[in-house]
Amino acid sequence: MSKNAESLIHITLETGLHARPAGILAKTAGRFSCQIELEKNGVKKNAKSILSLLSLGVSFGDQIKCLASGEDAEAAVAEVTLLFQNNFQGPT
Amino acid sequence: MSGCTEQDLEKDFFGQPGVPGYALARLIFHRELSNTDVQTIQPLSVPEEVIRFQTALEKSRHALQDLLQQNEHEDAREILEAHLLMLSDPEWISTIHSKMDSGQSSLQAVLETGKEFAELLSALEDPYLKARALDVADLTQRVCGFLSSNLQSVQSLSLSEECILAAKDLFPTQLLSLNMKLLKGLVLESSSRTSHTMILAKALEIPVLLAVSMDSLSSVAAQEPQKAALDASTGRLVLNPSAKTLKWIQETIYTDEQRRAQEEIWVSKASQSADGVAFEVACNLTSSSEADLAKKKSPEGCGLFRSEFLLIGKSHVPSEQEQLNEYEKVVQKMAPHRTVIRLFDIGGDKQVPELQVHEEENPFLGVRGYRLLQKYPNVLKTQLKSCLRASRSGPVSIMAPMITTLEEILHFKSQVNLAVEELKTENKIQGALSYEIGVMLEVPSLAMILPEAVQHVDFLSVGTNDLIQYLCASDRLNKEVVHLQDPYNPALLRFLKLITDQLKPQLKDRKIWLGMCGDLASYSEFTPLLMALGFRELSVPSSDILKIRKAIANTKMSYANQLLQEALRVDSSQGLSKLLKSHQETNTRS
Repeated sequence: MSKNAESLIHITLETGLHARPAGILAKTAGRFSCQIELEKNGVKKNAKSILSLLSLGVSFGDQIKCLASGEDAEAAVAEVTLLFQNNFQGPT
Repeated sequence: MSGCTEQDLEKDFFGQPGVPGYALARLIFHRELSNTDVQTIQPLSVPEEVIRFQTALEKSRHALQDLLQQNEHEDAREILEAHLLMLSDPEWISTIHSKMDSGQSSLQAVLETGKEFAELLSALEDPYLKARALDVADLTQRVCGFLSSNLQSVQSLSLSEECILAAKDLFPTQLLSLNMKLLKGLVLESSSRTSHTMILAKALEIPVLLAVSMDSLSSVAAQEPQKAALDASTGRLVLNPSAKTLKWIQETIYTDEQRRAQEEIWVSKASQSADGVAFEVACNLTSSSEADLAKKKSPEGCGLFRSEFLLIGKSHVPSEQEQLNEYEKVVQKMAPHRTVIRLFDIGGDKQVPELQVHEEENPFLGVRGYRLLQKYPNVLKTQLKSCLRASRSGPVSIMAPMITTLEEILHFKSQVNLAVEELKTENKIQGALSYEIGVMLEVPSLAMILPEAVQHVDFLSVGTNDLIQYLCASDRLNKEVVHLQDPYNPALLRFLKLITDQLKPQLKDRKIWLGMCGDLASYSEFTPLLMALGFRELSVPSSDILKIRKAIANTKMSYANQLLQEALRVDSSQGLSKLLKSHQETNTRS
């Protein structure tokens, strides 16, 4: 029984998704068993891959989607969304 | 009998001095692994290549973890941690596996995958992300080094003896991963003096020779490593030195080492004149990680933090919090001494979109320094707020660059007050703030309204590099007129006197302090003159701290005053140079 979840995220990170936040995101995503992706302008990339995240080229002001499918999809999407909302501040 | 003398075997290569110094050691080459190397390798069976790859991955991980343990440099740590994450990147790993499954050797698979990801990143517009392609290349080389025993790669190269390393260029992490005790010198094809690698090499005091063609060097050095004498102070590399050259380089190295050893005792001594007058020898910095290296020389603070280095490789001006994080680190490291943060000192020639200007014919005479900040008050305000918040962690002095008029100073003051008000409203600070504000003296016009200007500031710092440029109307970057950038020009000394004469009452009453942060501060033959003129603080690159501290300690104020009077009477550059250099010799002997 595969669950799906998604959320719309507005990027407020001034420097966009650079190595530090991309690393935090990849680490966080890696903790979930479901498949997690970020989508920008129709291009989807594996959120557990720091290189893929960087190559997505997410900048300040972008609208992106977080998509997950699997057992813990909802929890995964919630946590990823929270990361962006907090601009990746706080304990990692 | 070939009739070939040893002088014939000796071969000279000339380049540009990058970091001064001398070395005598074997010359070894570092070359990046490329596709041509791969073609000579026959792949083993798929399972064997997979094992090879896993092993290389593990070794790379351990190497990075070791480096992380040994390294205090924050920039290096960030890069190393990112690389560790990349090593576990599922996309990267799966791409390599699928290539190996199709019959490629692990070396070829890693190289090709690295190339693909690097290309993906290079295609992005964001200059920061673009630059991450370098990280992928760096990491690829690291892993490949463990995959191939025939070819040498710097990361897997364990220097077993002293050597001089020759390469096209080096990544900062590659430099940091080398055994510093065995790395005696660097010869690079690159000619960039301001790259991160160069700044690191200078701080680590490794002699570097730039702009030497690797093709021509390796064609002579052939397959076997050869002995080489490196003179990075003049800009020369000698392969297979003759007995005469050997003698010369050995003597030079010895003298240089003696000088350095003698200088080390100055780390723990105070910066004061022979008759006990206190001075401050501070360091110029471009990042908080450079501060760690500078601290080994006990600087009395940072007299120039070049904040514009925060903008390199960025597509946006860093946020208030990001700037605060960086400033705070430096301020804490320098405390209880002060940190002078110079506001972004750039022209509109950088790619940062928030600070664009129209194309200018004379950018050095155009919208740069404080003029640019005035045009973009939001950027100015954000920077001021982060500097002010950093003052909670230690003494902070905020310095405005390229100030031309009294009006600009008043504007600067009012902007600082506005920033304080805003911080209070946002509840980001509680209670009173303690900080200093000051300006750079580099535009000659400012020298003519000093009595009024000093009423509004806590300090002045003379930026001699740009001052000479504007005073002598000659472009620093123009080779045709670089001879006019002459520190021995009597006009410069007399101009400094013009400045300090006007400041006598304030300096005496300690209402303001006067510092210098240009190249002139590093000329030890000028030190007595600067002491006599009234400069209390001299800010220099960390590698010059001990030299200047020693020069101060060897000088009595009465002697300094006398020398100043004599120097002011000299009317030629040659005459001044002669006078100062001969006095330096007698002074150090006595």
